[in-house]
Amino acid sequence: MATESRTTDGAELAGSQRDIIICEGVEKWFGDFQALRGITTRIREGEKVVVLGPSGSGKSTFIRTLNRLEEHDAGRIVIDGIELNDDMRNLERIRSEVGMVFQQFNLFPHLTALRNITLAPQKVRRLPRREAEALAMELLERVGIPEQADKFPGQLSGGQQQRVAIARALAMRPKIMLFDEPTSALDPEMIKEVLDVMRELARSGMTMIVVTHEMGFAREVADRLLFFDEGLLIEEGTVEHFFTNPREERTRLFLSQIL
Amino acid sequence: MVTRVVVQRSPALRARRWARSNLFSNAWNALLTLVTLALIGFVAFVLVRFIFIEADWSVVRENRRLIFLGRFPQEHEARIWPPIWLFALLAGGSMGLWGRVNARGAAAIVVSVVLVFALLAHGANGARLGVAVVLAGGAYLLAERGLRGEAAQVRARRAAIAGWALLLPFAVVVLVAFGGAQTSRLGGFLLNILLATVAIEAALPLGVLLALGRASSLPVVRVVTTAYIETVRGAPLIAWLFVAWFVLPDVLPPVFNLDRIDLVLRAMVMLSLFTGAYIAEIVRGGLQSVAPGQVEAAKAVGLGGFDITARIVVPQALRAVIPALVSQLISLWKDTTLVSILGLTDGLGGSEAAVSQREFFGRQREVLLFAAGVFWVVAYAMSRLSLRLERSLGVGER
Repeated sequence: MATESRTTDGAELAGSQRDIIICEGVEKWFGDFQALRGITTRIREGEKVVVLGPSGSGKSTFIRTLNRLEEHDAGRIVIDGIELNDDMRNLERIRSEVGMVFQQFNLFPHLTALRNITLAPQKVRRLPRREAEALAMELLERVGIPEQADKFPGQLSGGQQQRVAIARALAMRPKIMLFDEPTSALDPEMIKEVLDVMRELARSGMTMIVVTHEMGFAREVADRLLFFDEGLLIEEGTVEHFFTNPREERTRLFLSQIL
Repeated sequence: MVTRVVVQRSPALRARRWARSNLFSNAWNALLTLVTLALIGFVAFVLVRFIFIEADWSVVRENRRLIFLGRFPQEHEARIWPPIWLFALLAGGSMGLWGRVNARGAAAIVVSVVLVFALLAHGANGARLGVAVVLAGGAYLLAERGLRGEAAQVRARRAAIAGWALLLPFAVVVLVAFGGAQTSRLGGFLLNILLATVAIEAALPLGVLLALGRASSLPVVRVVTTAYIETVRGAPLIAWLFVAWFVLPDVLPPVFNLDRIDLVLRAMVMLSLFTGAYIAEIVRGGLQSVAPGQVEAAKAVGLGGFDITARIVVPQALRAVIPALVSQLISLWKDTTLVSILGLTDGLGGSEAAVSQREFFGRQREVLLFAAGVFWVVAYAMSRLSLRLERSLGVGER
């Protein structure tokens, strides 16, 4: 993880040399509206990428195509050597390798925190119950709320729910974690506890793609930033590049608005 | 130190204050209160006078066989008791495991036990009813006091759930199998109860499947289930029962004597199919209420289509529609009386048959009031059960 950033144009950045995500000319249409207009980028194993952009810019759609919650209409997406297509078996492998955390947490309200985490390992990975529960407790320990294991989501604060959601995603032992505005639905005092968990995850070497407006987090953790606008990947580069010398006018405008 | 001034007021004074602020706050409210009180008083007076003075309840006691069992063969009558005892055991045990009986509940139970004995116990029945009461009470005490530790509690609950699941098959086997009565001889409230239980247990899964079919992405499945639901809902239950009577024998294939199944079984099938269509629409509403994010989250952790439906979507959908669902089931319970048009003698039919005998002429009021009471007790129990279910499932409410 010690690879330093050498250039500012996104060619040589932190992470190992292996591309774990390859996107080539990815396009997505919602009816007549084109949400993604030919996205091409590569993400290396262990890299932390923060995705920025105004609302409606396609950044959420982009990360949702990476685990096929949205099917792309043109182009190619390869995750860890597996191409995303209509093949159901590929889909299952991808989904257990890519974890996702949502803005609205999307915990299962009728299951306890523990059962939220154990469900997929038991059903998909066929883990025996005891092992799944041991794994879940270990993960709850990691996100700092082992004492909430038997509570239902409705009994937890927003920050606690989001931490359970992170533990739920980690339970499938994913190689890649996607975060879709993980702190946007949280009260200010709870944002830190979630970001702390994400920082710890970043230090552990996880490949992370994070859609967020938390610029402090981006500055601290991101190896690379992607800036989206109107379905286009406008600009990519290191944090330093973005904060000192953004190339595009739209990037400058956006950054001046959120900083 | 904060000194707190506690003003002691006599209960009478408090009652007067409460009445003044709630019942007589102004002239209009005072008038409403008086009128309502007069009305309640009048109805209560008439009812109490009828029940305790004017009525001659011997008509119910003498005809209890007809009302509860219809034309069920006398030689098999003893067979109805084991299921009743199992029911009592489970009911008492479940009450101890899941709920607490408060003072008001205890009083209601004592009153109903006394009533049941006064109206129905006669000879050997008294002893058998006594066994049921002792079983229920014993199971309640054992469940409430006798269980030590979480593990024992969990085991007991599992056993109780298994017991409830086995009650219906057990009852059917005891009543009918091993040279028992023919199903066509079932009658009285026993028939209503069996019809309703069978139809509930068959219609619920059927309804869920139909709802899922209607929400399916496969056009063939969607069209077939939609056609089924709309056709069934398009005609009254009575019409479908006539279909069961006149048409079914000609349509069913003659294998396993299907074309000659008796009317009780046909009624069970029709009630299940009919209620299934209504339940499907209720469940469909529930399915739509499940947030799309739930399915996305389930997909994102890699769950397959079956697990997403069975473990994420359907449980949440059902929880959202418990009130409507129970309402439909209560309606089914009362609709079981319609089987009288097939010539079957259900509880209501038995009650009518009772007063058509010469010596009981003019005793309709007693018999009908009693029958209404039985319907009400079961319907009310279902409604209370649904409230409890809602509360216990509502723990994780968002």
